[in-house]
Amino acid sequence: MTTTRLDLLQGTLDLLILRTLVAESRHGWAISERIQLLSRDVLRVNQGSLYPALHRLEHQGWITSEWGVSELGRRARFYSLTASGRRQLDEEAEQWTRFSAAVGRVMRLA
Amino acid sequence: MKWSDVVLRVRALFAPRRAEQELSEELEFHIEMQARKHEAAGADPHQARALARREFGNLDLVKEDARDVRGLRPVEEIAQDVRYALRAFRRAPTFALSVVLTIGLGIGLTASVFTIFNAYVLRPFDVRDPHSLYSLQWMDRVGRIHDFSLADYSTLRRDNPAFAGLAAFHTVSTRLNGVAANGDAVTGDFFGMLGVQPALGRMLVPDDAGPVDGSPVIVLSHSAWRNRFGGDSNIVGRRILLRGYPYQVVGVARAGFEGLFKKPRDFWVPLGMLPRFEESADLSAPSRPELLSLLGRLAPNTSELQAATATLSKMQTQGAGRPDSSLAAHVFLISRASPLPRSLKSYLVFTPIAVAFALVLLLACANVANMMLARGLARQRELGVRLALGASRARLVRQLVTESMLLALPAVALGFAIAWLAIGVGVRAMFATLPADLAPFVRLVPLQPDARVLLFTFGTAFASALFFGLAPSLQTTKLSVVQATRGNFGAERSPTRLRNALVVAQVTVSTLLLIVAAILLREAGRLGRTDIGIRTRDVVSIETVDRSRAAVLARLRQSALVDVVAAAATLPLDAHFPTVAVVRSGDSSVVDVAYNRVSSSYFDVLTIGIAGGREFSPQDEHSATPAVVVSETAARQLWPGASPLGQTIHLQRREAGVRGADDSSLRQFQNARVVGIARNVVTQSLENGSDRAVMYLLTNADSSGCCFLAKVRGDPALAKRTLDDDLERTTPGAVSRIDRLETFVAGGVYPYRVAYWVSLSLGILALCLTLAGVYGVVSYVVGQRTREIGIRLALGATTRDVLKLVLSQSVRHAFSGIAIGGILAMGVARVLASSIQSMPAFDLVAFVGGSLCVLAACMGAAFVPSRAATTIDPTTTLRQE
Repeated sequence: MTTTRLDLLQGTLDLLILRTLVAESRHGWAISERIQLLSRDVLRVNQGSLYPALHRLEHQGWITSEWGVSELGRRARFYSLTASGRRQLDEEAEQWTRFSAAVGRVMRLA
Repeated sequence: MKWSDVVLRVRALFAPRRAEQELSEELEFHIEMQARKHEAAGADPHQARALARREFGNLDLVKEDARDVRGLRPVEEIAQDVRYALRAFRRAPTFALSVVLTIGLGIGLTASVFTIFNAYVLRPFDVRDPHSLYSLQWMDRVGRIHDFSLADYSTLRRDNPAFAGLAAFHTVSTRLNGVAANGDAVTGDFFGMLGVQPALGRMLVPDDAGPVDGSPVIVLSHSAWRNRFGGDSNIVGRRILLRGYPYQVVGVARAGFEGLFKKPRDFWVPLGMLPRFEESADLSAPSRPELLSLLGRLAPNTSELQAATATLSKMQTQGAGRPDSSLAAHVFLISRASPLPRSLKSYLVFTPIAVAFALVLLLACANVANMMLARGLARQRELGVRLALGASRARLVRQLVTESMLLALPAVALGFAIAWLAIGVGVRAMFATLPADLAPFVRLVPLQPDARVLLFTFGTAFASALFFGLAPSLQTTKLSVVQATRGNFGAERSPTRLRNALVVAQVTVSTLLLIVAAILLREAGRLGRTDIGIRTRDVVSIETVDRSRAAVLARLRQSALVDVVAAAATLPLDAHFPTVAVVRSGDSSVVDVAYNRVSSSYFDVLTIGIAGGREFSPQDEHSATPAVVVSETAARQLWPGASPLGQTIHLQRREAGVRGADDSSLRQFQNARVVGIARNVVTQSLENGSDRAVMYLLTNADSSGCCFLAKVRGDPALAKRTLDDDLERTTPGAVSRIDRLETFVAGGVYPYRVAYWVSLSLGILALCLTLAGVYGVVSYVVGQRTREIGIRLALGATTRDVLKLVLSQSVRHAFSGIAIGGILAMGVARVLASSIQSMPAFDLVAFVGGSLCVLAACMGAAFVPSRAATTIDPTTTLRQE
């Protein structure tokens, strides 16, 4: 594999975390794995910023956490999306689409 | 801030260990999962785990970041600051101690004034819903204030939805067991309305209006029961005498209720007993005397304005048919929630005292700020290092303010204790220095500090700490990192400016307080020396009830102790003389003149000189035209440039039906002839002086409502006691008050003495604080300029030059402070002079004396440390660099 790993843009981590939680609640490791997997290993979540980000989102009220049992039978903290988190995700996703489209257009035409 | 945020932060604050543990577990789980992944990819378990750890990065840093989200940083930092400050105090215990003492003293003094203010204005009475209780008064169209007649009361009570209850009372004073006592004659619903319970027996009820078992009933206050009847548990049912009449005690009010007024009450009797206290008081007389004070409880959801409007309209209906001028124009509702209503007037009374004490606190704060500043400058190196190591300026300021707050906490405890002590000592000192005869008449409401005082103390301490902590810390942290790293910690100029301002402020305050003290001292001295013009030393005044009047007079005349007896309707020096409208013969204009009804020997007993004509003679009592003696001022005012002797005057009756004080005793004086001119004497209060127009009308010694004035032989105090005992034996209950005239004079001067002592103590305290301030600043300046002075000395400056250099600055401070303080004192003196007649607007001696005191003290305080400057050895100093 010769793909270069990219560092996440500032602020996109929150968006990705929220997105991964849409279908089901996950624990921290599962979130980072999911992002890595879906991005075909291009995006790699910096472990050091994942947990502060999760806690920050929880303080914002966009996700909640509860302790549950992981697939391997260990106690783990599962995060899930709240209603206001869903709204936030819609908003940020919208912004992201517009942003990337705009950047793409500039790159094509400039 | 979001709700989820608050919940999570609070949880983290109260269960920090759990939050921490959960974080560790969460991160541990992550690493474990990662390790399993590597293991699945074929790594051996040990390596897999190490790899996972490496990938994760610095675990502690992640934890720290996660913690930041929880927002516990500030709390941790405060804890850190506190620990740091405590260590600093341990290194400089003298500093910490002197700050606590100075601030504690200032807070204590302020808190003691607040305790008094709280007791009189803020603390509500211990009765049911005190905030809905109001006193009522009304004003007629010409602006006279009135109480209510019995008829008014029954009208106002009848279907009046504005009030949930309306009680009437009349305050009476008498003697109970030989000591002055205050009480209220109240309507039966009084206690029911207030919701006051008895400690023993029962309170008064509506049925008490009539006699019970042939004798009327009385309820005692808890403290009267404790202090005057020794807390006798069998008091209920006992008979006690008031004014010679027996009353049956039916109950004792519970502790904490002593009426709704400034003067605590000792007893309550039914309103029907009023004539036994004031014999002329006939509530149902056709003249409808306005003897009733009304106390109402506002109905729920009724505003003061609504109640006043409703009362006014009822009063106007009630007054229909009366002359216009005596119709009700306005009704006042005065809150009875506390001894003094929470009104602008009450606040104004306390403002000057509060300001004087607050100034002392301010001085204390200024001193501490100065100390903090000096300490901050001495710590420049430490602060510089911390700044260079990455502490922000805000962080340093927070650190220094935390230190101030920590110092303020013990100051709160100290201040609370000082306030408690100061009040106790002050009250005791007051009763110890009061003229002994006056002491029974002086009554205070309970002055113990409560939660409100404690809160105030905390608030004051907090504000002081901000003041003495924040300004210096902002000042001393003004270091630049560049400077600090270069090791240049030299102080800038601005801290010096702040210090100078503080010293000038201190000098200002102490000058102000000392000048005011001097003004009050001179006023007390002036009043003490005032020639009041009447004999007071050996004259005893005796108030008696009408039914024993003849017996008392006879006894006094017989007594070997008594030289001469006179009678007067109004006691000189004790009360204001009433006025009457006078028309001179041959002139139609009406003049109001103060008058007193006196017996023929009045001038003899009080040795009032006769300036012209003659004094009253025994024949005048039987003369067809009553005789009048006028004072010199009255003579000048009524007959300018002419002799009053032989002139006749007509005393105008008030218009028929006009409500108000119509002295029925004046009926015989329709026309009177002036027979003499009396010298001006002080008749009312000392401050009012002796130049008041007074008219003396002749009356019989035994006429109703008069007091006796007896000139006694031998020791006046002993004579008074002997007379009192003698009269009590022969005519029990006859004497309602017996005093030496001297007591009234002493009572007039006393308030000035108190004011003088208070302002002098404050002034001296302020001066001490100022001295410390001046001393500190000069020492600091000398310390800072050691090198400069050393060079000057080396270059040949004399000791004189050096002294001049150091002292000139202090002189400048002292003069600026004294000038500002003097100007402020002038303002205060003007206010005082406008309310006290005998006080001059500008008392030069007081101003010069006060200023010189401050100047001398400042020079003294500056001189001591500046002498140190002269002993500087140039060689040593210069080698130090």
